[in-house]
Amino acid sequence: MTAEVAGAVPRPDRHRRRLDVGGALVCGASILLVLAVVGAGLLTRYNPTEIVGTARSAPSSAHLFGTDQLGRDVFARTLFGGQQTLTIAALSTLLATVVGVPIGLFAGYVGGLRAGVSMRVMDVLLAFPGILLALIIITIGGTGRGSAILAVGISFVPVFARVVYGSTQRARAEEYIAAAKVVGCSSLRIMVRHVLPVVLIEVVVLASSAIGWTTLLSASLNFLGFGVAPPTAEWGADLGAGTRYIAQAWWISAAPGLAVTLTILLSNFLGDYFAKRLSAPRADVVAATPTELAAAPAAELTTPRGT
Amino acid sequence: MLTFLGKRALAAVPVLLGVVLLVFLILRLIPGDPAQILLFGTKATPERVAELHQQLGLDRPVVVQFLSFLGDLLHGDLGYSYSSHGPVIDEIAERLPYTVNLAVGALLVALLVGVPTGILGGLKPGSVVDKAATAFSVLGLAVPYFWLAQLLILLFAVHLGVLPALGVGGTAALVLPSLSLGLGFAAIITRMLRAALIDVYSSPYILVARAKGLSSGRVLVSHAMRNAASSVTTILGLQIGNLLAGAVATEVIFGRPGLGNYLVQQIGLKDVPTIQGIVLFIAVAYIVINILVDAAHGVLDPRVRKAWAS
Repeated sequence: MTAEVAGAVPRPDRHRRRLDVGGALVCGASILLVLAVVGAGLLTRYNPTEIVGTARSAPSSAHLFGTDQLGRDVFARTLFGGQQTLTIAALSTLLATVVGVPIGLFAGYVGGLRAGVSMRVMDVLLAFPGILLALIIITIGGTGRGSAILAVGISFVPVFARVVYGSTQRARAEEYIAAAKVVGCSSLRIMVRHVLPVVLIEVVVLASSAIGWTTLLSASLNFLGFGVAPPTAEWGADLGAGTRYIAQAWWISAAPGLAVTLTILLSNFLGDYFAKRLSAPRADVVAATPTELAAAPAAELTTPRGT
Repeated sequence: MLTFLGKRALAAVPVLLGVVLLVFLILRLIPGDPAQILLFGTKATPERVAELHQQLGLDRPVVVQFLSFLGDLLHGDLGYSYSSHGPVIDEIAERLPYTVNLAVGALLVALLVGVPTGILGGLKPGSVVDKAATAFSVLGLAVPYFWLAQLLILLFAVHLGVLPALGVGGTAALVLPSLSLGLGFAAIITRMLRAALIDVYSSPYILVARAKGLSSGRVLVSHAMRNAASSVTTILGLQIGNLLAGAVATEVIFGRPGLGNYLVQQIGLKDVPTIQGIVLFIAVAYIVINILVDAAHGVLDPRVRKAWAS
């Protein structure tokens, strides 16, 4: 019997240790990425908006990633560009969380007509696929960084609201919530003290994956010319500038392209890592793409999505 | 079946109305006088502004304005473009084929790449093939499609010179845009199908099918895929909307004169009626496509019909 126990015990341990190595790598790489972007000025001696060499010169020891169409250093532009892209991504994720979570929590806990109405509003927002809702907000608010943050953030409000709505509804059915009601807790207290902590696990998972999606969307907006104004460096904007020179100078877009890819990769891995680590009940769904998230309720057959 | 379709369509009505309301509000939410905004770039004489106020009924209550907007829509009237002066609906019709061609091409790429990779990964979880399929789906989700487009142009148009990078001439010009838009969606299909197959293969009915001596191909096609495919159909409906909207940047890169490219130009010109028309058109198309996908889903899966019948 002891042999059985001894044989059974190391397994989860080994599993956990292996997870931690991957997790530590992902966390470490994410921290490095943020540090490199924040400390851009320490890593390069070039000014990202200053012409420092011949236009479109290939990567060399003087210009690690080459120079762009005007002769600015691509390495410096990529580091400083991250400040713009990641700021938009982080603030819009924050906006989506701060607005979406209370909506989902309220609708999921209170239920009834008011919940129905607020979730229908979310459905209306989700009825504009992909970049379309963000473009509507750009049309209303104009171009610029503030407008881009608003556009990307509002685009992801319904995603956060939906996920929190679902997990609140599941949490509401738990016995400890009934117990809290019995001892006379108010609805607000139950929502904030009993439901929210459970829901927050999923929010952390969702938000870490969402950084990748908001990075992609803000880069897309900047790519189309609806973000920061030139000559400010930004990943999407520099990718857009590189399109015209792809045949002569692929390196103009290579570095920002890799930077966006890396950010999305890390963000997805972070989402997976938190999902496993915090053992969220619907880890598989939460660490998914926005499309998959939107599809999840439809898969449950009770509340078809897409209407 | 008709009841199912009718119920499904009826459920979409509130959201459709909400979509129309939001699109109607675009013009009213832009700070400033709507008439001035509409006359952007032209000479906004006080007479012209007053005339436009009258014409648009801006002096009437907002509710009345919305109802007349809705009424015009039901007649297929999306208003007039302020940049080209033609009816918006004609402008859309002219550009729609380019967007639809691209969406269909990308969908084909997504299915032709995503389904086989998903099956290969799902059949032998943990194998080398599965690891490759997973790597593809992880990377496919991470590489931004507007950079992928550039890489494809660099490889196939610049270095190999086998495919055109720009223009709309024939099928060859459709290959690179379809690949750059479709591969990301292929990655999602791979991921979903792989997970669904692994799930299905662990269920007892597959064991029964194997135990009665069916070949593994037969088990896959007539047993496992029937269940696993439903996860893909759900995703497909949602993806078609993303294909229509994702075409925006793809059309810009490849210089395709489709709806997305047009939308970006009109946002630059602040041609609000045209922006409203395009946005509304894509959102409604997305809703209708999803109703049709759900109908197809209902044909394939009796459980879906039952869920709606009750």
